[in-house]
Amino acid sequence: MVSSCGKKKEEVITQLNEPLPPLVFPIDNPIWKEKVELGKALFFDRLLSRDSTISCSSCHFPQFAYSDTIPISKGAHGRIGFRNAPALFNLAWKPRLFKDGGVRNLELQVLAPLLEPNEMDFGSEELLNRLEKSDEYISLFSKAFDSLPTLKLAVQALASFERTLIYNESKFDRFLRNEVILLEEELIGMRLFYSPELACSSCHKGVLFTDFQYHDIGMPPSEDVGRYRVSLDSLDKFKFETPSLKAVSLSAPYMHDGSIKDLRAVVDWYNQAAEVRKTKDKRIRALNLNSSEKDALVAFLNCL
Amino acid sequence: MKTWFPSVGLSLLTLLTMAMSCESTKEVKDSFIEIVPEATFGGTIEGFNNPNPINGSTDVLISELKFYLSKIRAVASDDREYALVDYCFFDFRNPDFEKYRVKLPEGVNIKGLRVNVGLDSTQNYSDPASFNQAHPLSAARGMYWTWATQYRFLLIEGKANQTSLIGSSTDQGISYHPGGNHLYVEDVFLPLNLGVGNGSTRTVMLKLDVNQWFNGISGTIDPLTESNVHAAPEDQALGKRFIENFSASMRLQ
Repeated sequence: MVSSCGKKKEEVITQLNEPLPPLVFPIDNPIWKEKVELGKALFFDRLLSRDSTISCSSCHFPQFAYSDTIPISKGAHGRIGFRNAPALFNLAWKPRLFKDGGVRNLELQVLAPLLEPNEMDFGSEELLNRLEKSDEYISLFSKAFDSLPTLKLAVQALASFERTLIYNESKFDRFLRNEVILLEEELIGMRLFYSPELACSSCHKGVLFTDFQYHDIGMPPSEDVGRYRVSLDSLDKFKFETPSLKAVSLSAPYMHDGSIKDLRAVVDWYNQAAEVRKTKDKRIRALNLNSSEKDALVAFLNCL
Repeated sequence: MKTWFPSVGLSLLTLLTMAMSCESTKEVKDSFIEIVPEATFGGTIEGFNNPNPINGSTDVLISELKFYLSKIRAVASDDREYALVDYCFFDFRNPDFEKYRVKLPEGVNIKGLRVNVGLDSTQNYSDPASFNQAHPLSAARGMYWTWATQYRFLLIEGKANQTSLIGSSTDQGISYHPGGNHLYVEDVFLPLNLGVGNGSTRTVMLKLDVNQWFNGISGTIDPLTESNVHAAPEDQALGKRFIENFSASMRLQ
């Protein structure tokens, strides 16, 4: 049990099965059950959008690794967003948020869709007014924080809930724990994935299958300049964060703009020579896989 | 047997000392200035929500005007600087942020203020959710860039058109939102002889000459063709010109 504001709060189990590393929570936002429950209620509540038409879960569906099934999600008033809604699994380990790394922690990330005109389009004052008028939320905030609703506490609760969205039971996770074996095709795909020739794992590395770095993989240029928007360094043009491949089979469509519809098409895309430009990562080159090798690679990706 | 006499003597001595020190302390009343920003055209004509010419062929109308000043210092006649306030926020549409009252240092002959335009890197790193809704750095001010976790320094919106055409369907919306540590403007000196505070509050007008935003120290900006500054990398050069022009457009009166 942990203590907060004089009342005992129920601890959230943070001991995870391998291969994930231990969970570490921010000092200024420790986790407990009542806080997570409040965050979960907020996450699924349409009250958080100006016109009460969408909740966080309207673009982050639990059954799809908390991602969306369309390239670019619609926000309040039917407005179109900016990038493909990312999967929300295993955010607890991410050093920065957003595909360009513009946001430095989960608590600040939570604010972005709430205030963004093309997403929930909510002013912080309006949000608080709604929460303060809700008996249900007054009760949930009281249980979680012994406090009336505040923006800071709402943000902490949402971030705490998102930190509990952990995916660690894929076939590959269980394979690493010697609980299952991989099929022959999946093993071939695994060898390809980790081979120096393909070098997939040089960016999609470690147990979370990401290096948390930013790379230009040669997607067609667009108005979205990626990391350049944040760093203002032209060498960062069209660089986006390496996405984790955990639960990747659930989070189609793919790429920062959701422009590739399925995993096979992603492998096809990498299989041909991508656009050449100064900022493009040198490791991105035509894979020259044959059809059965592509199938094997997709089979392995489906295990993640 | 208790000896109470020495302690009574000590108490009397203490009381006497206190009475003497009270008598010798003069009551000093604090002095304040109240900074009231005012947008003008050419220093005189009302510049907020009124269409006015900025050059021979273009009019602009400013309908939204918010900005941060930081590290506000009083500059004494001997050039010593006295920190007055870390930051303040002005919003022409919000009566709570129309003016800012600040205490002056005692007994100092003040010849002006020195300010920075925008927020310093520490202030710019703030978490807007950690402040109450009335705070200048709260998300409620509408100045926070959530996707970049930093603040806009200025937020100026309105419209522009050719002379006398504002209000027609051909209006060009203008929107200047420069921000980011690289656009922080430091050490703008605003001369005004405030003298030594006399225990009262003096109102000081902070005049912002809209003309100079578009034709100022860092060059000319045509609002019909250079109408937007946001966070995009390609906006940064214009953003720098705009915030430098804005900073140089300030006068105290």
